[in-house]
Amino acid sequence: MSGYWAGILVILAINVIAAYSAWLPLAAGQVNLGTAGFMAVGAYAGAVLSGDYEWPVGAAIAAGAVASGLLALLVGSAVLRTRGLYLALATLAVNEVVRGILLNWDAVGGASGYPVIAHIELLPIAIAALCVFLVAAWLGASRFGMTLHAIEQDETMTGLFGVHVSRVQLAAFTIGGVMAGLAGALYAHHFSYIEAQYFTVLMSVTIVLSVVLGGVQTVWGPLVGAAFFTLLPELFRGASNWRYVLFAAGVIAIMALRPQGIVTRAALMRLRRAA
Amino acid sequence: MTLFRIENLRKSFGGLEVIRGVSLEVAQGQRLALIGPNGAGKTTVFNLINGYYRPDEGRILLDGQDLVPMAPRLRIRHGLARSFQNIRLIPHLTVEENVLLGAHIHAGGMLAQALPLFMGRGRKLREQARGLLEDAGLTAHRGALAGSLAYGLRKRVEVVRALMARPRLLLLDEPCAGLNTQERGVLMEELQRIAASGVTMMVVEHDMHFVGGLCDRAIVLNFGEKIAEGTPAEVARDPAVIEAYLGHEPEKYAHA
Repeated sequence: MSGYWAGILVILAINVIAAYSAWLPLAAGQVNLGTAGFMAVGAYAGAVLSGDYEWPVGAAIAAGAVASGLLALLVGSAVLRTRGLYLALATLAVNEVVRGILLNWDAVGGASGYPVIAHIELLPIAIAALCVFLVAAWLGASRFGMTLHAIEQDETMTGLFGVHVSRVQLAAFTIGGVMAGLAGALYAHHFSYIEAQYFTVLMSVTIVLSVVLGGVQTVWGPLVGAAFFTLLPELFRGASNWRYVLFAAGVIAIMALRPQGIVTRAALMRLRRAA
Repeated sequence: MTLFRIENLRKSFGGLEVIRGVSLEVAQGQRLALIGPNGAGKTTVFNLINGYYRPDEGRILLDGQDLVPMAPRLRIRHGLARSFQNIRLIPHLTVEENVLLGAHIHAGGMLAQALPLFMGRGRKLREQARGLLEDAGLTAHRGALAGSLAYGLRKRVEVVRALMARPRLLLLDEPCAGLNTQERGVLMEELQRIAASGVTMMVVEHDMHFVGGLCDRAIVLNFGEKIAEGTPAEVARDPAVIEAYLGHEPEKYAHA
């Protein structure tokens, strides 16, 4: 495999993990615009542990995921009281706070960034993405996954059937936080250098958009969305500077034709019947 | 034996008192109809019972337990389930999955809920859901998305979903609103079958023919007050009830 394709696949795998981290809360109707902030926490925690503290890479990456998950649990307990746009705004603020702290924290390099010595290649990253997909598929097929969709559709009604709505939402947000931290830690250990400026709100928005475009109704949506957002700009590379125009036109066309996302439950059922 | 009792229930929105000291009792196994003109407060009573609103005054006792201080999501654990006037199914989940949501309180803790629906306790619930759907004649629609179903079928799925909670008191909010005559007949048979199995019901409904066929007692509300009580046939003849619906006693029309 050429270095070019290996590089694309690494980014694809990381984007897939990030997409699932945004999908879990999104399936319950919560827009988390802080995904990149949680990725930054995972990236920095993992990098510091494998670098300064000389932890084995695997353990450092896992710890990065856990650190991000703990932050999500903490932040989620506070901001999940808010709804809709206000939740989006609150998580966006979290993203900026995380970035601001990292930017000003000299122990992790501040604005000049943090070099990561340990390095991982495509294979472990691809395996991690596969594992995240399997976990998402497992959760999606569970009662937990079902209640996420029910909450997204009708919170009050779901609560009347005995579902502890806020606890389910917090669980989705926290598991999403773990996945985002994992994506960030993997990124740090592949690209060997991290800086706070990279983990912008725009990145969080892009991740959420990729999931919405792929479709939140099924476990396949985030995978398709992440692949679309990663691969399509590459396919248009021949069009040089016009490729983002083409890509944006593609996004608009899909949202116009399939407002529920590319993959919907109804479409999957039609496919299965045809097969 | 009294299963359910409301004592002196009051509720105001702003300065408007919409429920003004309503008391009622439902005996075990009884089917009580709650009727009255639009705006009489019937749905508000339901919303007070399941905790969507909090009453200003009064007690709501299910089997001796006061529901008022209880969080809405805990009330179903005490045997309270309902269907909704405007259908509230999850359109992009299958009929079977929607029905399974009704059994949430029987699904175990967080860990059991993280298992796929066909494993562990979920397996038994799924068999139960399939059984209830079969009893209701809905087996053919089990795997269809709820959003793709005809209105009348969705209304019946709502009833099956509520039954999955194994309720002691089933609240039905306008179960046959929007149904055609044939669909009403099917729903009636189904509810009679459910009633015969011993489920106590409270029904808000406008169709007096339907009420007469299903319920053994009726309470009439008007402007948040109880104005009549008796068998459906008795309240239908009650002059106060006729006036509430039509504004005048029929004699006055006769002389007009």
